[in-house]
Amino acid sequence: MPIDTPVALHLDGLTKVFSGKPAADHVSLTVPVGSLTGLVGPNGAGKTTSLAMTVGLLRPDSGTAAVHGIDVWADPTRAKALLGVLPDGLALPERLTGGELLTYWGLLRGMRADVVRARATELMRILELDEAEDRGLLVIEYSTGMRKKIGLATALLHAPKVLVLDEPFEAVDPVSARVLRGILRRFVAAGGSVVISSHVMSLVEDLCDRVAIIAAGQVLTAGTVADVRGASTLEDTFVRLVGEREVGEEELAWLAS
Amino acid sequence: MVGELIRLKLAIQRHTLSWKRVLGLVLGVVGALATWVAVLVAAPSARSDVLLFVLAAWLVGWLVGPILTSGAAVLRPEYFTLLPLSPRRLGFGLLASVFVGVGAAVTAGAVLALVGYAVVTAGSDVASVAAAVGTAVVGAALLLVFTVAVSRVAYALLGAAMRTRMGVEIAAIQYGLVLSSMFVGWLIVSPAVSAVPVFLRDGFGASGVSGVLGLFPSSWPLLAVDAAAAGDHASAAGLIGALALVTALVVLAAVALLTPYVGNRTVRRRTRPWGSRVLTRGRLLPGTPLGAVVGKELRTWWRDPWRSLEIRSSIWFGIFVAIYGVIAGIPQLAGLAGIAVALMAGLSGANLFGQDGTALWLLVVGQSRRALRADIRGRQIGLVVALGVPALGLSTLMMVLSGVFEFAVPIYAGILATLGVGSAVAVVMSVVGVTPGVDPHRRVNATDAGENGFAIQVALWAVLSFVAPTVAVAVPLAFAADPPPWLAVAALGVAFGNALVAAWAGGAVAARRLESHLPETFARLRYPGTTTAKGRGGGFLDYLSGHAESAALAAAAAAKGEKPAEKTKETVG
Repeated sequence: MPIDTPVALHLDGLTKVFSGKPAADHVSLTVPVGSLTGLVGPNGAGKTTSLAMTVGLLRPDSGTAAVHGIDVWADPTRAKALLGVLPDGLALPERLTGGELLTYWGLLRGMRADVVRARATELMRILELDEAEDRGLLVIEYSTGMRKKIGLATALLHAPKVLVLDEPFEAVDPVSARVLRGILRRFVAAGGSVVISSHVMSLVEDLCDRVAIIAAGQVLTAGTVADVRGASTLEDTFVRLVGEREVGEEELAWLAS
Repeated sequence: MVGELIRLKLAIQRHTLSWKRVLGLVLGVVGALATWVAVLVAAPSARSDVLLFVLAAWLVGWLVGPILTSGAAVLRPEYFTLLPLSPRRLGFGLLASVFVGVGAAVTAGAVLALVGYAVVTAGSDVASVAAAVGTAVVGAALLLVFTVAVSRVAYALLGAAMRTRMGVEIAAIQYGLVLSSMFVGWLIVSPAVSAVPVFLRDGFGASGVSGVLGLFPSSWPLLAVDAAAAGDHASAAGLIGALALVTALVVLAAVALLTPYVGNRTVRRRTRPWGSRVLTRGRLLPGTPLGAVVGKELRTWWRDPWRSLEIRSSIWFGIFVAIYGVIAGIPQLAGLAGIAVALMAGLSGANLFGQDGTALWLLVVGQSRRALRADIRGRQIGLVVALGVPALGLSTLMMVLSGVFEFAVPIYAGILATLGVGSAVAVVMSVVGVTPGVDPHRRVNATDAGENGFAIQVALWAVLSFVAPTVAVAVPLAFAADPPPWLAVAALGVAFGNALVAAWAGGAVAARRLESHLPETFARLRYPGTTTAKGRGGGFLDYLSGHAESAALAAAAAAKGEKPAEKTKETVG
């Protein structure tokens, strides 16, 4: 079994062209086991596209990805069993309550009913969704932050080896964000590996031990947070690599009138 | 501001499909001409009855019209939510914009037939002609405003439909009526056509229908003209006054409803949803992937207004088929109501993945052969239960009501076979014809769930073709003078086998197709129109898939200019 290889996730030349414009251009990245890797980049940089190709949601034009050495596109069933995925902005079975959603999802994954129930109950409590569950709130009635949290619960339920989370902290309140960071740190301490995408540099700097900066579909730099930022901050490094756009003195002058 | 809104509406309409506008114009002009002809050729004694009926028909047309045409809500109030306009001004402006259009113009032409009626009824006395014509002009104007405003109220209620159970029911009745008219409307065409000369000669006679029609506001201007022509000016004024009053009320209601809605998008609910205590109570369904999918599907069919609408429209479709049968003098048809409901299994279920929005991602990231099969089989079981229970119940009820039980066996055989075949066709079309709608948590209108006219047509013909074995046995059974008892047993046996084989085979095809095209199927929902979503290969399913995708993209493009009511069920049949 290649499970013991030290590489949790390997993106190998992932390329995707949407209507003539490359959304991801030979994206390659290695995520070591036990690391918490942040994927940062400006809007439209190709973060979501790259992650979608990594977890099997979007077939790449070329290139591939492997989870613990298992090719996601050649052996999807085995590779996907090791992955926990939180996509950004997609629908869920909206007319179920959070508890029903987790029950459905666990059973569909082939887990035993009693295990599903115990884990779902615990996840709902820790993510503070238990009160909504008591009221019988359906997922469609959840707030944006609650949707993120129930999505995270679906990613965690089957105890995956690698978590791939697209914007997990977006719209999540500070208290829940703390809980979430705690969960991710514990997951990594127990030998799991995490990739998150984010716009928030300070969050990545604080939470992640590794970082990859991606812009215009290409990985500009990747490595440990300390190596990438060097003597400056991560944000300064990011701006230096991605390019700066200052608002000029004469622009938008009417806004203050 | 009204001028701006009208210009905006016309600009949007310029981008809509032109054949639809031409067809609407032709039908409208024909209708207006028919109204005038009816007034002029009807026998004097029947003239009043005829015009009563025709005016009521115009009113009904405006009530049902919005779900057939796309012009009704060219301008959605929600577009203007952020403008600094008072809701009332916006409402008036939007209502006024409805009056600029083909519909209002031809209706104006039709209701002006009241003036023609006034001239031919009032006799030769100049004073009474003047009074009658004056009443007719005022009455016609009020009736036009009333009709257009009442149509907007009906449409606004339909738009609000998906937030209340009652609204879903109203929308379902409209869909059911339209569908049943397409399938069996011809049944009453011939009796109706042969009744026209008699009607033009005798009117309603002593049947009391004219008394009932007289209660409709559409009849009041006509009755007022009659009164004015007879010199009874007090009654005429009273009727016109009453019409003015209801018109004012309807206009106020339309203005109030034509304001942007910014509240909750889901059906209001006071209690926990049924069966939602999964974390604390015991399970009824097996704790397997299949049990999980069946549980999710049944809950969704029960709770999702868009899925409910499919079930409720199917039931009303069946009820209206029965009613058409009764009107046409064939009450035996009433028992077919259940088969009509069962037929909708294949059509309503033709886009199950699209109805769930992008939720297919769960199946993609949780991919395993067992999960995929469970998903397909579970959706089939959910569909059969969701539409099978009302189908069997409705046919049984109709047979009890009509007292005709001699066709019970062929009818039950038909329901069984149609459900089984429908569940097969539905899942195959759901995979190859997957069509994106508005994502579930952003849906507002009845048509937002994403419908594919091409897929629905293919589904209809496929269901009708694959029930052939059952039809071959059930029809002789139904019409044999003295069928042997074994034929009844054979019919049920064939139907059961037909249903089982079709459901099994269709499910297997769908599951295999989904497994080989899983990321592509998801891409059709997530990235519609990109090459990623294109199917691969050159088989029959790829051919269907390609056509279904083109149909979906064409519908989506048409919907961009004129969002609602474009992708309605008009493409069926």
